[in-house]
Amino acid sequence: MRHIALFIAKAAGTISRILRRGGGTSLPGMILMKIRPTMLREMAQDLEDGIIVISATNGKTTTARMVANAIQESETSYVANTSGANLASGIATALLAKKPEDRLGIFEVDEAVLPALIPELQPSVIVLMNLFRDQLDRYGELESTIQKWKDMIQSLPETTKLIVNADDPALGFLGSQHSNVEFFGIEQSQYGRVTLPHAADSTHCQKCDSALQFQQTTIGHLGHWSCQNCGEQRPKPTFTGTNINLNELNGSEFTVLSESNSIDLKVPLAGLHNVYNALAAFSICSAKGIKSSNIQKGLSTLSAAFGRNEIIHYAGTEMMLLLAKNPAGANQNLQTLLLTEEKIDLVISLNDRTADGKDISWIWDVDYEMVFDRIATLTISGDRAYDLALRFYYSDFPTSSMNIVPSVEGLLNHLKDSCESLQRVVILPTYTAMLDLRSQLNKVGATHSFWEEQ
Amino acid sequence: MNIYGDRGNIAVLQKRLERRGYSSSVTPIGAGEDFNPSIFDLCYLGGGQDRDQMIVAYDLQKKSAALRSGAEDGMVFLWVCGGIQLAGEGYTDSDGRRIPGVGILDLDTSAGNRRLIGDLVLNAELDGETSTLVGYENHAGRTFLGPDATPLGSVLKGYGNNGADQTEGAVQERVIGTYMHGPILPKNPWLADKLLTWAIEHNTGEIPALSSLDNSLENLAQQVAISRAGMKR
Repeated sequence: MRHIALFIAKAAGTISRILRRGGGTSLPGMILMKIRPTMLREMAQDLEDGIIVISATNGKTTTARMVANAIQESETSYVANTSGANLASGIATALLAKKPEDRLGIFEVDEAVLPALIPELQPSVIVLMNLFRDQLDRYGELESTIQKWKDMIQSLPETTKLIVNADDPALGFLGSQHSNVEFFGIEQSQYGRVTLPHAADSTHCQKCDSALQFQQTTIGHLGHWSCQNCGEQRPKPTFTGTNINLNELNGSEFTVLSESNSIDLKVPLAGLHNVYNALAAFSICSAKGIKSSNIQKGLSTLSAAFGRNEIIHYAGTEMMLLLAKNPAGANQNLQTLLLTEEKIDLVISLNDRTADGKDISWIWDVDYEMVFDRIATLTISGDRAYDLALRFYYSDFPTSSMNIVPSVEGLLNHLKDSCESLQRVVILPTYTAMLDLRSQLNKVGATHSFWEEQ
Repeated sequence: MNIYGDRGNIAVLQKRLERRGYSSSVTPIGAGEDFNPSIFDLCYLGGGQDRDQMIVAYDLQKKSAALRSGAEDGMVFLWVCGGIQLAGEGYTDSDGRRIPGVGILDLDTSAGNRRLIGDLVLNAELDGETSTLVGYENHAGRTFLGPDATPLGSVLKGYGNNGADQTEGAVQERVIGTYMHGPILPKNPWLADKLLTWAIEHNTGEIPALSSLDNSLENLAQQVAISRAGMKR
């Protein structure tokens, strides 16, 4: 029965790719789970070195890639859902492709399904990086996800290691409730702020509900938090990111400090959020006994996950894709753009399909104004381009300077037509807008299909 | 109580005034702060998470006399989502706990089993004029109107106040409550201008003749949103 189940599911993946209906990154798994629901648990048990699960609102895919790269350098064979399909079906599909020599699993998992998947996967390491408001129509409130994670942590066996971002007030508190936990966080930094940004979510103490104090915030509500009322505060990190130097849009350097060690890391992806991602990846690799040299090498060969800091060449122009699907992520991308003095040819593409979040009101909580004086040209695209245009219009961005091209074909034509005058093109798409864009670019030969990436 | 793009509504109100030559100021009033109705023309309250809403509810009780006095005086209210619930008599949550409202709208709300989430399209009516409004709803509460409140509109697509009687929102004098996010005002300039007309009348004592603004972007955005309502995959 087991072999037949595997065959049917694998065939579906092949057929899906042949029919070009997407990479077959979820369909085989979906079929498998219908035919034999226990398969996921059975396949997961087959990995001798265990499973690493990474979950967060922002940063899962990039962090998983960083870890995978480091593990590849250490010449351990692993299986991962690098395509970013992070629901049960996506993980089942990835496990279906497992080779006999694969010893380790690295899976990014959607924050809403994480509690249900933990008993199936029984990971040895769970990494919790951040929780931001995201897709309110899909996830409900942030609080309800926090509560579900709280219940999940309470029922974890002691043998499961948690690696948690100390800078997230909710996660820092939840993590401390588990005995087998290590924390990572960023030290006082020149890139920190002393005030909470508008889009900050987790601003109240999980223990006593009082408003938290922040000595420093880095991204959204991440930072050095404490509660004057009950005394809860940011746990001391096992791994601390210090001496951070953000190198405009080229990447960054920083040092990881632990009790016994000080390791310098170079990250080829721009922005403070990628410092967090690299710090998380370092913590995971350390827990799995991967040598620092392999982590450093892995980072140096890292190519961006599709849509995240990815560089694409089209019409003789270099374009950087920065996925943006919630206020925290979008604001962080904009903050990263501020690191450069260059003027930006900014393209924003807003879709409202299921995977993007059907409710687009979140764009009103993004601080686009911060880059207004850096914008050389503004191009607005996607299903809900006009909503974006209104967003800019009501902040007094002149309508005469907006190029509104809702369709992806229209967008590419517009970019081609204006390629002479384009300097630094940065595209901020939502999830399906990014898929559409890459699909269209693939048709004209500008990039590769996302499922072909290693 | 501002997790839902609420500052977009404030931006629209201010800009549409500015473009007609009016100046305006916005004063945030937090928990524990006094509310003096005589110095304001419009009061806005947005949506929040359930937890924050509890805290706000108890604070609003202290302000309820001032709020009712403002409403009686013709001050304009736009209270959204958690706001429509708190504007009413009260809210009964899923544990049966009763959270008091301020009573500026004749309605009552109880938590339902599942959340009502999705695109929302209404046929709205105010002052004898009608208009289509489009936005998004996301609420567990089921709101039922009493005899003194009129619905803001009838539901063309979506659930509305309770998923049963096809009403959405509530209006009483110059108090409007609604579940419509979006946020509600950017794509629905008719409603924004209606609120502004009322607010200026409250301020000056005279009904203004608001000059028309170019709403072509708003209309395009509205049309796209309406055509995509309920069609998203």
